[in-house]
Amino acid sequence: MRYIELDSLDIQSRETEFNHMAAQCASFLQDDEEEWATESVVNCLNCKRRRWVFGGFQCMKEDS
Amino acid sequence: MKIIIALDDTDNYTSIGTGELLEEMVAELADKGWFTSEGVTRHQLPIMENIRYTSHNSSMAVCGLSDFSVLREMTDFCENYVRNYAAQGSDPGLCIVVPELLDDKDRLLTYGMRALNQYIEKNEAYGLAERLNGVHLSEHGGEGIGVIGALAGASLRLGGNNGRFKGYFTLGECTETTVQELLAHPKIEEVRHVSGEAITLTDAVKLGERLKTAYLNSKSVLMITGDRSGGYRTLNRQEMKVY
Repeated sequence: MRYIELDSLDIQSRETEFNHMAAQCASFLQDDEEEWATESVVNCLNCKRRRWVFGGFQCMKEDS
Repeated sequence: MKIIIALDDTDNYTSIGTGELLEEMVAELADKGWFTSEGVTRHQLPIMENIRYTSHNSSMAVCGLSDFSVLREMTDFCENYVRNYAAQGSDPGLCIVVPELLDDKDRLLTYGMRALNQYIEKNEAYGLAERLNGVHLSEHGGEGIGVIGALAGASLRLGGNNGRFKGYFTLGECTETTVQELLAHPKIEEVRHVSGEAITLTDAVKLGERLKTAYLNSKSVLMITGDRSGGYRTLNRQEMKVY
């Protein structure tokens, strides 16, 4: 599991980075819109496999 | 009479979310003429290392109108529904609260407030539910730890000051309108400034593409804030996360 540190203030500034990561990820799985954190749909922060933890999130895809 | 139904921990990485499952269940209850929904709310529970959750640890609740005569049948239906449709590997919990039967509302409200920032054991949730009149709490698979969040979700919905309504809506093509016009929308019961600043019915508000309301004072409240031009705007997706 990969842990990514993320402050809520970072979400906007790192949106493009997570867009790129999600676009290249075969495991991206769009979460319920209720749980999206950004407006760009294909984004790690809107993926059902990201698990919010204290101070960031974990990528739960099997090979991460 | 009012009834609150709450679900937690019914999903896995590939299933529909708990909120969607609750909406689908409520639609079936409505079809049977047993329940008229006042909207599903999402309640954020703590992100802590010793709490198990799929991806965000939220509990979903709905309040609505029902009747004593169908309560037993409706409870059985909900139990079967969760048992049959909760995702594999999940630990579903179901809570049904009849507020007017509650003999100690404050104890239930205190539990909900504690659940917002503390780890709570499953036994404590069951212990409280057993002591109170008007509370049904049951687990339907896995380790059943969803009962902790289900009871919290019902409590927070009862308290009336936590969470946000599920779903987004628009005012058609409209990008700016007055507070008065906003209040005419069926999904908006109040318009409130985030800092409590007084607003008037004639104030103009710039609208985001999709709107969402918070659950405050037992109402569906559209939150607004100041914009760069000195006027008002609705909150964006990220800003709404605090509710």
